[in-house]
Amino acid sequence: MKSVAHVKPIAVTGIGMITAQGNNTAESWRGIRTGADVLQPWDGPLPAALRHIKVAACARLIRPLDLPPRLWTKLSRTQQLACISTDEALKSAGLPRRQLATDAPIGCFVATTVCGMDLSERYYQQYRDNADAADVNLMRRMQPYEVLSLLSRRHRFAGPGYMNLTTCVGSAMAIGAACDAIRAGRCELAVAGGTEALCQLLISGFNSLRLVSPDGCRPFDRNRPGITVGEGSAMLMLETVNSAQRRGISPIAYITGFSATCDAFHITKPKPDGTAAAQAMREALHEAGLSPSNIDYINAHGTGTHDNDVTEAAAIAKVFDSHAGIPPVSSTKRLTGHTFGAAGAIEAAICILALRDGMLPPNAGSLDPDPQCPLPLVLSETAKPLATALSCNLAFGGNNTALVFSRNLPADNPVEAIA
Amino acid sequence: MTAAKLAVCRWGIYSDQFASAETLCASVKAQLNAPVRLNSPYAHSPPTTDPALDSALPGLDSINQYAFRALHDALADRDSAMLNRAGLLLLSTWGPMDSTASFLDSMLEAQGRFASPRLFTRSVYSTVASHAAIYFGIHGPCETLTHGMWPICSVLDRAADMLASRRVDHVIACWADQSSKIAEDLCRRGVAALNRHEFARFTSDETGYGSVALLLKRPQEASPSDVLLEILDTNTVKFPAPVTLNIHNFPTDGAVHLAVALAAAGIGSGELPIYFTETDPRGRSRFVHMTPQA
Repeated sequence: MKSVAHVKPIAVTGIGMITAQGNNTAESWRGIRTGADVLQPWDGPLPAALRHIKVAACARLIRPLDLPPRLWTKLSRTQQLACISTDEALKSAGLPRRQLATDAPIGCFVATTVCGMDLSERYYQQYRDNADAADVNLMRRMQPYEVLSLLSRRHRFAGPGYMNLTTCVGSAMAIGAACDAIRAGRCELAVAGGTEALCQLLISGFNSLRLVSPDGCRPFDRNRPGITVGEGSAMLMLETVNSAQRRGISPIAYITGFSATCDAFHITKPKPDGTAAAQAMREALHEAGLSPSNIDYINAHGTGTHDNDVTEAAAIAKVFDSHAGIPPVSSTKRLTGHTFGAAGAIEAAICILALRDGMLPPNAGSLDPDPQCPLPLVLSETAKPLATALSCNLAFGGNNTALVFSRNLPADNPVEAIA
Repeated sequence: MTAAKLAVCRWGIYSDQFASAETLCASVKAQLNAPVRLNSPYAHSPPTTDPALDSALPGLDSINQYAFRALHDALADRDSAMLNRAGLLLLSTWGPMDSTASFLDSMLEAQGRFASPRLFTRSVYSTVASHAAIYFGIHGPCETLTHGMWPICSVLDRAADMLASRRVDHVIACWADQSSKIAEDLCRRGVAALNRHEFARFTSDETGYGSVALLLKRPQEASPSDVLLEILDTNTVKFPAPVTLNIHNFPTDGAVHLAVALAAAGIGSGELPIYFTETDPRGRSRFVHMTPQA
């Protein structure tokens, strides 16, 4: 099938990532690629009944030098994670940490689910005990938009942006929105991604739904015990191909397709037949001008719950089975934990790094693949030249996203750079 | 002349003061050139004209109830084909805050053992859009957003971009916030102790509790008879001199204020340009230029 992209590809010129595997992209990617096991019980303020649960927690965060210690310690952990990954994304794209007023405005599209919940929980606990004695400074960072405000102020991002709060697909949506804003001419460059910190609400909440595995998730495994809660942040530096060319930056990869759909079925369960998730994949492929047989790797959402895994496998089978079969699939959730608002961005970064290095990350934790999920899982680190990759995410409320990445600029893309 | 970016085809509003677009329009007519007193939290939810909606509302948080009622009006002409190609953008400042606090209570009281799963699923911001998507059958992207400075303009920008991407044919933009004693108390403390005056708008009964929903289309594809208003520009940071702001002394934040502007635009003669203004806590304003259609 002839490849005809229906939208202008967006260049990815920088990546910043912090996960339980490492405090930067190189460390994180090394751990993810090799399937390093980093899960351990959280040393945060968790009720005794939940302290045995293994999570994917980031190591001690290193304060960026431009942020004074007094400010750094007052930030929510979600904001701290976002600061670290944004710094790295800007640096790897060859951009200064602080934009000049004369620079082209940079957009900022960020996702989170709970934002400053780590501080809000402390505040609320004090508030319950004695409202008048509660430390009001803790409420400074509770609003989700505080992440965007901090990044915009710190880096002088003057372009468009918003905070996306659509749980597990939020950062994939933020990346899609940044691409749309760039294509619409609202900005030439944008930072897009997600950030999420561990907190009691997430661990206790998912535990209340009986979805948390105490020893780590096993995506697509017959004996899957549930999800692993994690934290982290990833930011992508996105720009027009023209802008990258003008700046003399060689893009790492291109975003060529995006779509989002909604099951409109149930508040927590995905629609079992995977119709809407399959629709998102088809639409993203259509935007990219690719057929399913053109996809070389799928990074699945793969949370390690029965409902997610079976639905996602059904959706992938709907899109890929009738063509040249299903390409290699892996879920990296056991390696990074489920980072909710950051998951889409972290997995987008993983797809881009897989394309860059021709290396497939393993579907760690799967010992006995579930016959209900007949997917060609990547069971160990595998070298394979890749041209394209698809990242899928599913979320509460039946939200689904798909992002398509290409290693090289499509030859017949309708990009103005060719003109 | 700037091309229109968005066509507003229908809209809905719900609060205790303005239960429909008609009552809002009547109120604006009566109060031209005077500050418009906005909503206060309401204690009960009067019945709608839709029995199905009436039966759905009691089980929902009040933020959902506000949003459902506004969406119900904005989607009065909905059909499944349209909703398959429609996206939902829902912006909230506080989200379902009471459910979040109730979940934290359940977690703290039981030492984490018996935290309420029902409250947890209601505690995340995106639950409002998800419930709405399920009830109304919206199958396009359902994005839950928030923005500290430009809650109106950022949603309108995103709506214009979504329509321009051609992934959807309609976007339903909805703003919703509920009354919350905890939020109000937090904000009072924020204003008093932290000098965070942007919280002041949440501490009095003139805040924007309620919901506004707009059904938006690409202007070039909307039938002229269906278009109530065209939004020309959602990305202007400088007021276009020498135009003089000629409508009302609107308060400067909240989706309800946008609805007031919409109502005024619908009432207006069309001879004068109409702008909705949005001002951030630092006093910077953005303007949405709207033209009423015949």
